[in-house]
Amino acid sequence: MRSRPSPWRARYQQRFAAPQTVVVQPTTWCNLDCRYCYLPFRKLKNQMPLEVAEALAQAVAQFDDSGHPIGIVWHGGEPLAVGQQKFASLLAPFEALRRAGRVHHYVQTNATMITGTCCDLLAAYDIRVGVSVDGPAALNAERVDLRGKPAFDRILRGISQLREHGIPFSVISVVGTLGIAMPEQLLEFLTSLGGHSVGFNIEEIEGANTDRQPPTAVQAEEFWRRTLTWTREHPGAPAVREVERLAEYLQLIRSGQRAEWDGRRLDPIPTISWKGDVVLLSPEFADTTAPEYSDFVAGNILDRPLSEILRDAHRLRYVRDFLTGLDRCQTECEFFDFCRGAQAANRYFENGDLTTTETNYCRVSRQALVTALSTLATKEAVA
Amino acid sequence: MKILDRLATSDTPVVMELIATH
Repeated sequence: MRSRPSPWRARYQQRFAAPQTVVVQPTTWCNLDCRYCYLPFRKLKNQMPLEVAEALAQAVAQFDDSGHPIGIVWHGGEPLAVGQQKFASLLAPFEALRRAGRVHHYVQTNATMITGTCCDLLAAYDIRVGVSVDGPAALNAERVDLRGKPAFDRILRGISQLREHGIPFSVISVVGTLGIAMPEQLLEFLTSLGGHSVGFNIEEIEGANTDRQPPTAVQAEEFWRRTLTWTREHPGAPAVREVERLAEYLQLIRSGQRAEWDGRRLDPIPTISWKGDVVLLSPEFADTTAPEYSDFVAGNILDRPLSEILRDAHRLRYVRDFLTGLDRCQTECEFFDFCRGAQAANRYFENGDLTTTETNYCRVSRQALVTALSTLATKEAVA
Repeated sequence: MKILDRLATSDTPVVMELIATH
């Protein structure tokens, strides 16, 4: 008699696809000490051994070829802090895959360590760059080094290097209680840097960042309303990621492509720590102490193939709790169709429970964006 | 009507322009 398939496996496969993104932590260390940072071990100089990169490259080579290159996202810590020689050695095991079009490298960096020779490395491996910069100097004041000194000038020097070497980049800005009231100043500055797009991460309570007061939903709605207005008035400016997301959703729904939207599944986003531990769902779970969930560690790629770890993801208690939370979001929240469910890390760090639904992240990053557009549309309809 | 349904059927300039740029 054949055993029945696990209902949890079916539920997992209904929500999740095979990963298109793998986040990699080449080091825990960062040369900055941003006041809102969520990384608990950013002052420890742990570095990924070459054998972990080799094991990961072997694992990715065994993924089914979906026709889309897998995004290998070198994150951190500050990924460039490992030094160019070490970084090149970690990239080397992926080189055959990259040349075959099976992977594409990305790096999210604070830009302070970008030099001319670093740009040569980025170009040689065709690495797509994301720069973390919050805004003009006064709105970038939370980004400081280990001595508390502003990093702003060093960030701009790094961006200048990227531009001089013709390396395209995107920008991510963390928006705190100061910036939330000044979207136009942020947009004017960030879109002038030469990047092709800007993403706004409204400050979140997660990981090691637990004591600060994040912006409120009321502040966020005004922020997005003014951002939508600004982007409308500047049609040639670099795209704002969140506005693009909403535009794409509405464009698909209104053009009869609902099935295409509904058919999209979530990426489990396997994150590989410096020592080969694998966490799923949210990279912010890496290095988190959570005894009830075995610290979110799904396995280690030095002990077990990544494909096996992913195959058994539905067995993990935290994945099951997240699936329960997603079902509740879909049933209870009128924004679910656009949002697709609150992020796992925000549920855990804000609510302490992955089966819960709404988070402040939902309210300020997804719901406030939708209500901002609705408010603008209502005003026009009445006028 | 839910807020997303309203936006999905709105013919206001702000919504139409947003979609047209995508």
